[in-house]
Amino acid sequence: MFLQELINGVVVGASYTLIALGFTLVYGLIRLINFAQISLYTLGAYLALYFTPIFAALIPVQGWLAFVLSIVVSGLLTGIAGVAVAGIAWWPIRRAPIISMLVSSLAILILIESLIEVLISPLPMVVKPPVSDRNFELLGSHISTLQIVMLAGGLLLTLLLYLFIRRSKFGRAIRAVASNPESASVLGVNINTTVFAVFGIAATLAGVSGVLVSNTYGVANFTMGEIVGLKGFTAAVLGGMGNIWGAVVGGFCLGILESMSTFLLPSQWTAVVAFAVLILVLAFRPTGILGTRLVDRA
Amino acid sequence: MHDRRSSPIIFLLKNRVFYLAVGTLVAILIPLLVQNSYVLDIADDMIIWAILTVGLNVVVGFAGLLDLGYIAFFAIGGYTFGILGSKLGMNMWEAIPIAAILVLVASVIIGIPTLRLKSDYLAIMTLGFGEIIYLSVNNLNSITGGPNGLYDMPSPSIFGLSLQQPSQYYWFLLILLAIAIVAIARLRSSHVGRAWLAVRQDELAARATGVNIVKYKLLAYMVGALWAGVVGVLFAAKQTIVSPTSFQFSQSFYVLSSVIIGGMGSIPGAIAGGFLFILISETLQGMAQNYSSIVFSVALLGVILLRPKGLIPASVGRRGAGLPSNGRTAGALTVRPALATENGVEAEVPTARAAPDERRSADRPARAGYGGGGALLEVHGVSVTFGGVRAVREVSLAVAPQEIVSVIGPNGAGKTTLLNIISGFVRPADGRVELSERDITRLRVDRRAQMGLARTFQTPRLLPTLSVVDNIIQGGHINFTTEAPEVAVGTGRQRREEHAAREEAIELLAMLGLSNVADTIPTQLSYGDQRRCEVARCLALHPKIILLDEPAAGMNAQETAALGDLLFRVRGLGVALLLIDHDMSLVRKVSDRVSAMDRGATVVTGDVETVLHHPEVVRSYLGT
Repeated sequence: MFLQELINGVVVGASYTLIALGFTLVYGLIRLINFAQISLYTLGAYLALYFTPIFAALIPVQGWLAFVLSIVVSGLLTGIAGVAVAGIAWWPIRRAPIISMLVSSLAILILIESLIEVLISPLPMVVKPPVSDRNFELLGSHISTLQIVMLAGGLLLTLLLYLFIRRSKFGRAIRAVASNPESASVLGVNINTTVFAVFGIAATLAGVSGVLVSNTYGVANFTMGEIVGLKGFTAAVLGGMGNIWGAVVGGFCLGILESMSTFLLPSQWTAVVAFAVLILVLAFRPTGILGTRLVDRA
Repeated sequence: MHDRRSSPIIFLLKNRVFYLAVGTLVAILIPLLVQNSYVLDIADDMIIWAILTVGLNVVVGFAGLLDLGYIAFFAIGGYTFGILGSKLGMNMWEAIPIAAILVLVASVIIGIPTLRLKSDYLAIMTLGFGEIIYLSVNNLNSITGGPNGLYDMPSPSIFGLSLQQPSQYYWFLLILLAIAIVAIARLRSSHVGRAWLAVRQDELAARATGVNIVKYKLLAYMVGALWAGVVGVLFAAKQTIVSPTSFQFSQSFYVLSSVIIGGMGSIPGAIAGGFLFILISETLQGMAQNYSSIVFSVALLGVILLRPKGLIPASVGRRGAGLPSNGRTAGALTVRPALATENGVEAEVPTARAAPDERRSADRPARAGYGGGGALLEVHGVSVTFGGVRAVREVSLAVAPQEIVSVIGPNGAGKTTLLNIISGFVRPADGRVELSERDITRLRVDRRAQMGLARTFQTPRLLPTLSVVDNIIQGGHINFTTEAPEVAVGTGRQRREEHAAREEAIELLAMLGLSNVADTIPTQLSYGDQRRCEVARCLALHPKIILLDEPAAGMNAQETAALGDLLFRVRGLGVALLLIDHDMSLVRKVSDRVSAMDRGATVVTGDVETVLHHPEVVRSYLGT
């Protein structure tokens, strides 16, 4: 039982990590809690819902290839949507008070959700992955293929992000802007391009997370991002807002904590656990486990 | 002839009171004009929604806090009545105080851990709180009836008279809306409202004037919660059912959009936004799909991007019901005449005395204790390091009551950092700061201000949307003794306090020669005038000492000379001054003692000529 909950927690934690990374990246750069991130998770899930059958029909035998293609395409399209979000929620009002940006990113969250509700369906949708899901036994507990995919996907993206930020020229630009926008701009870094790119990266992470979660649990609905978004944010704060490793630690910690809480609480109350964690962290250690840091020290 | 006939009409059309009167009249007459109960039902909803928006406007518009879970308080109110009414048969009136207490407790529990932090964290906390409340009412089937909700509550009545007809309930709600508007408008035009504005626009300036930021943020959050909780009860009573669908996240979003679309910080804007929301969503309701969230999110984006102040922007400048200030300033009274004893100040300031002044000076026994003896401000060996650079190294300094001490030194010597340590914006790694023989090293900025420590800033930090005179009144924040409930009700004591503060601000402006700009916005003033306004704001605090950060910067020789005279007059009021400046003519003229700093450390302290001729000072700073 314990091991089973641990496995479930780690798998769920991977999805929280991806969302937390998105929050942390944007926050680390421009100190904005990007609410639109929440709807991009949902958007990713619905894009995959559209693309998966298309790819599955094009490449009928190779279910896995179709699945991966669907994940990649949905993730990239969500990334483009993320850049568009920056174009509305940040670019035109980048010199306005932060509250304006918060409200506009919130408006985008509601807009994307309600467009999905009106144009696709207000009802929950069944999600069928193009691959056969098998259960593996592990010391008396079970882990499904899709759970493994979700965990692996989360870890892979985190690793790619880390390498990108650490090793690439562009990653260096991001770190420079995060630590000091003025000197970065003096050194020839284009701040605007950097911010747009980070919105795109954050959105891709959220989108892929949405695809993986909806396929693993077989369901998607237009408000699916709200609670998960709250948890992703909690994870980011728990680990230390603005700190990449913090998002990873916070994501997995929260996932495991939440799974363990099912020994005490019915599962529909897991959001309460996240919220309680958020209150406690903010009250007693607002800098989180690893401390609030800028992206450059990740 | 033609002109004369048209002018009263134009006057009416430009007068807010006229619109208020017409609006009120129409609002009262609606149930008589429209007998249709469907229309009246919508009118009821409009008022309920307007009370919500007026309440949220306090949180978002006045205090600048983004609350994304406002509907949770509405839900708590609704379910309080739902549970107490359906299970215990309690009526609406009994449920209201219980709901009020519950929402206030909830707002404190959510507010206290969050409001200490950056205010954007509040947004996500409130979002979470809203989700939790929704989740709870949806899942606690045995208590809340789950998704089906609760019904069977007693129908609303007053003194045994039924309020079941939509028109009766309409008038009842209208009265409540009027009470909400009056109470909140009173808060806004009081020291509470000015403190909210200061917190929203400039936290540093707010703290320097002694505003406890967390207290005022929490207060705004509680005022908002209170109205949502009360109107939640009335909503449940009107609907005769409460169910979770009324309290989803989208509802919080709609209240917020109504406030922002109407105009953040504007009461008429909040009401208009609330009315507009119900009208539009009622119009859209007939359609097959739920378009209202699309319409409102697009409208919200449009407003944020194109008209950020909203449809009816909050008024800038003079706020609320104050004294008519035209022509008042001429009869200026002496500021605390009992204290103006030095340097022939009396000759320059009219000496008419008034009762409020005596009362005010009598209210400050602390001042009477001074005159001789020990230092007022003592700094003992303070040090602070920024990222490896020791900005201030073991600096000691003392200022006696009514003494003027100057700190000079090259740029980067650590003078402003020293000022920040004394006023509490920077905490020293080492050393001690004492004010009136009390250790204040660990006190918050606002606590120090409350002890009589005022300061100006290198770049003036006046509140840009308050008139000059209101800025000065805000500076006297700590002298207000009335708390929010008293302000909301508007007791005589509160009115007198406000009146006296305004009188005093007008006197201060007269004393500083700023009477003619009392009603202008600070951003329209010259740099020199803004600096003098900051001095007036400090004086309104009734300080023991004022720290001045480069008051003469940007002034010409004539203005600087006038500033010197002004500082003597300020000292004549019984105030000590600690001054940083590069203008040696000013330093020479006013200083009792001078302390020279270089690279974070004190070089020499002593009387003016000794310090200015000290070889090291000459070498490192003044040049040969």
